[in-house]
Amino acid sequence: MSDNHNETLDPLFANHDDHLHPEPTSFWTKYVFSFDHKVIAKQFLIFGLFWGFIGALMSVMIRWCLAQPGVPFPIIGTFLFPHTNGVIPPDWYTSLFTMHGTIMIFFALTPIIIGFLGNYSIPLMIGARDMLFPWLNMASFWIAVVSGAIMFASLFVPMGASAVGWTSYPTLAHSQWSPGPGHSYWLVSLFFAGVSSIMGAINYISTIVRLRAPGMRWRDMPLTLWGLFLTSILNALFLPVLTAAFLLLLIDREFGTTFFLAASISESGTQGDPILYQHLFWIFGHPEVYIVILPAWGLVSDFLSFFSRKPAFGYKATAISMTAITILSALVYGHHMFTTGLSPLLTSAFTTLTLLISIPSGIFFLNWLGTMWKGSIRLTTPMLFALGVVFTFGLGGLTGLHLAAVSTNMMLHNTYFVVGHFHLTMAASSLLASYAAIYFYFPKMYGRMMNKRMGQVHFWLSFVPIVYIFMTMMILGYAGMHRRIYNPYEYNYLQHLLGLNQYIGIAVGIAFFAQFIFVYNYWVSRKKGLPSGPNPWELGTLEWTIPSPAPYYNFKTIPVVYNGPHEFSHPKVKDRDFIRQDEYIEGVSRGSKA
Amino acid sequence: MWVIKLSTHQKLFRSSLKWLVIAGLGFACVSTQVSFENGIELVSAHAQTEETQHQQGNNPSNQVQASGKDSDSSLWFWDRYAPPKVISSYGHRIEWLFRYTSWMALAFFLLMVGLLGYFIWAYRERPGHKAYYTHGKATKSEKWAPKVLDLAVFITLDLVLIGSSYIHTKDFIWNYPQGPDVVKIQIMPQQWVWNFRYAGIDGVFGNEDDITTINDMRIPKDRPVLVQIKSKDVIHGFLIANLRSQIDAIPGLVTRFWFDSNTTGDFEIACAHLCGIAHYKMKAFLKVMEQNDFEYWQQEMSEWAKAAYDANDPSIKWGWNWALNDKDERK
Amino acid sequence: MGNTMTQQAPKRITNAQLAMLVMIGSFAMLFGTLLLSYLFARARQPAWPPIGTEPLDVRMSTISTLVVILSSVLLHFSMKAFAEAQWERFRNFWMAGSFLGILFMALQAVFVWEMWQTGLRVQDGLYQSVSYMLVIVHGLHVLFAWIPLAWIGGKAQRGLYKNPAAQGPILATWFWHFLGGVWLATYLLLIWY
Repeated sequence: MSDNHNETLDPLFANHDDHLHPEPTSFWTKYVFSFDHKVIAKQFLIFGLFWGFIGALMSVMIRWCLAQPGVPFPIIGTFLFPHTNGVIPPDWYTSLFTMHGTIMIFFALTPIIIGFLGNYSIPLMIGARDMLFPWLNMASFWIAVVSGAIMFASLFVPMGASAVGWTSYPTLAHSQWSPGPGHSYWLVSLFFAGVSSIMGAINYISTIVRLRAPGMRWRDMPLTLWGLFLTSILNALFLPVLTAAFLLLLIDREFGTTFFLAASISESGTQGDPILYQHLFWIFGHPEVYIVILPAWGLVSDFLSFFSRKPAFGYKATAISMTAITILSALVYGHHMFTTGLSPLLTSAFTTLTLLISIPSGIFFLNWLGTMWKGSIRLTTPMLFALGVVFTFGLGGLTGLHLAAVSTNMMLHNTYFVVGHFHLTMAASSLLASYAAIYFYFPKMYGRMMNKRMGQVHFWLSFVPIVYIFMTMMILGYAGMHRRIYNPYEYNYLQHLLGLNQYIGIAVGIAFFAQFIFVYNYWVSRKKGLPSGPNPWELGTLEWTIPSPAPYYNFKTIPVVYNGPHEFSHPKVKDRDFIRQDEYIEGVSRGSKA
Repeated sequence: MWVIKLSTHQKLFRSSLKWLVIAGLGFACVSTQVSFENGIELVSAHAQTEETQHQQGNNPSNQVQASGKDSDSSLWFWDRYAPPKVISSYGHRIEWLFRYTSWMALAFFLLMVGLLGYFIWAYRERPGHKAYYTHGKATKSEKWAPKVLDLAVFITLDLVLIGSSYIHTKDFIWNYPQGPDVVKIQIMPQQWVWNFRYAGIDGVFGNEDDITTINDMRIPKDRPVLVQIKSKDVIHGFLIANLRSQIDAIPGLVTRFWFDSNTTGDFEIACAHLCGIAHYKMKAFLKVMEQNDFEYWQQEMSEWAKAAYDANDPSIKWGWNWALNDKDERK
Repeated sequence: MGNTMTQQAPKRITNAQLAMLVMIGSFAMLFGTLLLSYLFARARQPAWPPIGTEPLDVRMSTISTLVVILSSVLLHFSMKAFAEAQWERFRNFWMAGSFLGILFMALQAVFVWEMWQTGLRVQDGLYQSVSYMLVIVHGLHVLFAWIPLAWIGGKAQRGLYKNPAAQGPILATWFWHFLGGVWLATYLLLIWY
């Protein structure tokens, strides 16, 4: 290991890796089994977009059933369901919404907002050559592929894919009521997905702690890194709880144990408890929604600053709020279980804690507005999507209040109100943030810009339908339509809701096809987009100090950091409105030049 | 040093911002307090009048306005997509909390969107305008504005929700009715029907005169109905939209729920928790009858059950010890 | 290459050790969840063990607990020798500790076989399910943790360790100690509580 700085390096403790990997040469080492975090990030992106397409197609099929009951599904309907002439049957419907939820959370959102964004941005933002453990990084991706393969296989097993809801509650998830291997495949697949995410989390945490460039304090990190760091802590700590729950459920299914099987069903006298599963699942499940959204929060905080040419308003308060939410997230899980007959003590405690979490959420949300206030706003495509997140998260977050209070929760539980709420806060916000990240990093990945006009069209054709879809779902939920039902029109009091379901169907169609604009834009811009140069967004964070596309070694020399990440429009800097993090300016940067 | 030129109205706004926020906060607190105390009665009284003017029954296309106009064309949006009318005595309170939260959330949301839209327009990038470098420069009131606004939301919305939740739990959610007036029913949902059991004339569960029905729940008007639910197989959800509340049915565990109805009529019971492929049509019917009619029905059914009782038929032997699950556990 | 002077203050744990600590945190949550589930489920039973079932073999489980503790102790001494570059001593203690690891797994297997012989079957209830699950899940993790022990033992036998800063052995022993601690907790909660 050579050292070519005036500080000797001990690679065991190295807070930056000065070692240049040899450049990969063969096709396999360059594009398939690569240690390079940038390649692994792209692999996660492709993986996530592929599964996102499958999950989206499933959602189109679900909405088709609700908008056009009894009508054959177009184009692929007769091929998939010959025995019903193309009409989606009820048993498929239950698998569709189960797999839609599972796929979107574990195989689309997580790989993109954590796998792609984390892998791509972390080493670049902290001024490192790669992650701290490149081998672990590659293993994490390929284990995710194994997980995906098992889940894909589960679609084709006898008696069909899992059909018990992504929450997989026993006793429906037990073999007696879900015979066939489908759900066991599902459990094994998610076990591997958990392993992959935990490996990634270990890597992200270690890298951010140890590999920051000299001079980069915690408060000099872009907020995206804060989001990714906190998400990784939640992943590392709470995925194992899910693993435990799934392990117990799997051995209940396969080996006949009775952890979640109640006495009235099992032959013996000792009593398993289905509610135990719910506790375990939601102890993971609630932090999971924060896992999916924390990187998005960090990203939006950064982008609003970047594209308002202004420091992030209340950086410290935002970082502290995100940390507080991380810590509190495990204490609020009971609000998913209010209808199970929890005691008044527990319900009051969970209601109170859940509503307390809205305080830090409000702080960083309002800091977003504070960042834009008196800024100089550039409506670039990443900024459009970040603004979309502000809108959807603001709307979705406020509807969480109805669900936090126990009495309104008992009215709205298992209705479309919940579906609308979590799609706005989790799906829409993370999805829009994912797109923001992709448009943002595209120049660094390919040295070219994505087409701006197409990006704008993609944004509006996604954003407006998405808001419409989930706002309408909340109306449906309030109107009494409960969820996970194949044909709501069985009920007299829901029959008049067909119209709203049809409008949602139209919006879903628009949003679904709009994504192809993005895919086309991405594909073509790789070779034909406008050359971007090293710093098309005019930013100071470290990834924009290197050429585009980024060379395999990232930084020729490890930078030394003198400034924060949001030094925009500094009064003392006249010729530009940003300062690079590794740029020493007398009277502006802190300390002295190293 | 770059200075942002402010117009007169912007200067006025900035200097009065602090006072505006305090005044707004004060107004919000006072109105919250007043409406919280009075609102329950006001809204529920208003809602009761509204409901009684509508036609009985839960089919919204039958709902006719008091003025007698044809329903479909003149119903405005919120009436068309309103949930089925409230029949329970506590439903109005839950409805009130939902509406209060919705209006307050809407107000804050419009404020947020308004600010968002205004900022995007007013602070768009254009020549001659530079962004305001806030590091170390933001004034105290500027730094505190988000925190104050957050506190305003917390006080007017979150605290009301916390307080209401506590009160609702104490008043009706966990306040199971007692006494001879209570109608007691055991419910055992299974894939994919609802089983109901009444104690019969003798008032004791588990003997020959128990009335068992499938998908047919009958209760008298204006009397509390206390229900114990235990699922036979998987988790189901007992949901009657007109009540504004629900409870899960869990295998191996008895959950309790109570409600009443202030009108007679036929209503639908839905299964709200995924329970298999026929979950979507696991429907039962609630019939609310006049007291006399209910007693007549109960008498008839009980006598018939006693006469038809077959000790060797296991299918009617479901049920559990009522008293064992009837503890008063208010905490 | 040893711990040379750097401009930053020397850190007490290496990068790899930091990663191992996070990993141990994850596994702690896993085993913690399993143990807490056991306690939660047990709290709802009227009798434990349920009437008519035999209690688990105290003797066998005590012996295996002592064996695994001893293996950790031996590996600890092995690492002390490693840090002082005493390669012979390191190798000997390592082999002894690893051997006790195999012995532990064998004893656990006998323990489970005994459970089977006394007629305990998981289908019969929660007590049986919990007993098998805790022992077997822990045992499988021990098996996976033992593979690095064997690998390092093989390298030690061939005299391939020359650098006290090599991370492999310390990481493997940390995880092994952790699993030993998990077994101790399981043993106390399952057999004695």
